Amino acid sequence: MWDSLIIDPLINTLLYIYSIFGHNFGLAIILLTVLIRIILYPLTAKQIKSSKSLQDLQESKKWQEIQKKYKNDREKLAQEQMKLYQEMGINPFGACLPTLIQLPIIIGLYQSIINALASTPIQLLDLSRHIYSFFPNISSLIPLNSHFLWMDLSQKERLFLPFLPNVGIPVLAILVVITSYMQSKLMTPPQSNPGDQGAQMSKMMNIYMPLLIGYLALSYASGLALYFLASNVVGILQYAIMGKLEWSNLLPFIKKEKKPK
Amino acid sequence: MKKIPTILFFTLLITTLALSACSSKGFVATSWPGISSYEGVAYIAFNQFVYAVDLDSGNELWRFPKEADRAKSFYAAPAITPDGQVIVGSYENALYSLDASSGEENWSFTEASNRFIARPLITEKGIYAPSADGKLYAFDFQGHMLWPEPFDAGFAIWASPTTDGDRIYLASIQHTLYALNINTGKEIWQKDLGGAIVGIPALSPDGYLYVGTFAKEMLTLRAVDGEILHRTSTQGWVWSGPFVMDEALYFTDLSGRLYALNRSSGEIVWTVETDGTMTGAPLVTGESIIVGTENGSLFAYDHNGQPLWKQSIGGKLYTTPNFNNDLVLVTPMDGDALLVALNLNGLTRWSFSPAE
Repeated sequence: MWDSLIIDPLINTLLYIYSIFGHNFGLAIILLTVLIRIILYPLTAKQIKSSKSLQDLQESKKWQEIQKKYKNDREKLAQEQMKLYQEMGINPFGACLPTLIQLPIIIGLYQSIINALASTPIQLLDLSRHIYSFFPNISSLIPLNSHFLWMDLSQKERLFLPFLPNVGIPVLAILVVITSYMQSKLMTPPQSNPGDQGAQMSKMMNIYMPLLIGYLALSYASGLALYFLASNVVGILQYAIMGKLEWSNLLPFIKKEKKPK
Repeated sequence: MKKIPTILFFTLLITTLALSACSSKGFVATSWPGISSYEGVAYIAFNQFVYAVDLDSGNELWRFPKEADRAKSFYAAPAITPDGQVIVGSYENALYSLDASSGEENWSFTEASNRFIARPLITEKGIYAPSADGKLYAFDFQGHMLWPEPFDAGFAIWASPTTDGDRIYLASIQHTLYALNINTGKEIWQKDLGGAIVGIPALSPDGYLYVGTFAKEMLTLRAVDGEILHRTSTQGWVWSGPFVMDEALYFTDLSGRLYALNRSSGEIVWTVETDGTMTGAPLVTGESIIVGTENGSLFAYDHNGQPLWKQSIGGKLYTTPNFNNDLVLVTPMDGDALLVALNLNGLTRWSFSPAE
């Protein structure tokens, strides 16, 4: 089920893109990432809409009032908040559900990239089973050329500079951490109550998530790191096109214009 | 609301663990066992160890390394030199020479930049070890380089080379077959065969090469100049090398078929279909042709393709069966035993499972 719904379509799409774009696997990963982002756009748009509704609610007078009124009764506060969500027709999980739906695709894409690169006999045997029987001229494509720029996409990425021959610099992992941090900062709406627990957790997540993704990029095949990097850059561009980037989160000297309520 | 970041955090953690499970590191086997045998001892490379097993008793003689080491994993079939060295490559890019009687390390080579997947070729001149870094490394029996530079095919080499004593015939996974001067490592000719090659080329005594490819073909080439004489179509990708016996050529493919081919005409004489994928080559003896399948079955046929017997071994039989001491040796992956020894009638004599 997992294979036929996620892995097989991803692998065959990846191979097809590879076959028509100069047998360049790095380019195939980037283009597949763009394609997936386009397909997932409705979810992204829904996520943005839900975040905005939630933010508006939290900035509303009614919300502020119940915060003050029940500040010493957490149970009652939760009940009142839930009532307010229902009244306004807001799903508090609406912002994170689209993210959760995307996770299987991220895991599937990782497995597809590793499968397609097939750096061991058992992986190559496994790949042979994922390729659709009608795929044209597959024998000319296997094995895939895993070289992209200075990287072997089936291996961990390290850049060795001529003046530092013994120190491998994980350039891609560093870029993944930076862009993940930028993405999470640029996409997080400004908090109405920066001191509350939710805001604090959100702040922590903005630090932990880039580090966790950076760890994955550092430890596994660089094809995965390339996907993370491409995904981050495309995500930022997508938000920029929609005019939703929160530059004030990243660059505090940029003051956000306050809309009159 | 405050639960949302917590849910996200744990989801991310689960994702990390799920991705970690797909990692090529650790104690989970990432390929199938490699086996060789010599003078009553089987040498098996699998996961964290190389095992030496006495073929009379089925007992372990030694293992290398003595304790599991996360930095070492072995899947390439070992090769044995005339002076008693076991040469085995690791997935951590190192090639080891071990003492065949004790398993102690003699020397190692650590300059390859990718894993060793194929069994090294041993000749009276030295050791020829192909690597997935695309290079063929040549050593004397003390581990010194024989050639000024290793031969560089530019793409991974998963297939063991073969030789006629003067030349080495080497296949790269990137569709190309090379003929090299055995003394210098210089290329004599190369030929693009149109599909990936991971099986050892077979060389007949009358000077022809037989190579199977992922283009679903078995090719016949003239060894002297690489001229392609026949292309025979198959049902599936041809994974392993073929076996030459007199006028016949026997080979398998991933569709689960065993083929007998007339070497002169390049035509298929007979085909039989087994119960599963075959990545191993056939074991050919005077009376029978024995093949193992991914479904864990071992099939024996006579030289006309008539079934002789079938034995269910269990696990997955990806490796070519081996023959020594009048025993058929098979190494199932994910089976109850690492090594199963049978007689030529398919009856199990003993099995070996390494102690924890």
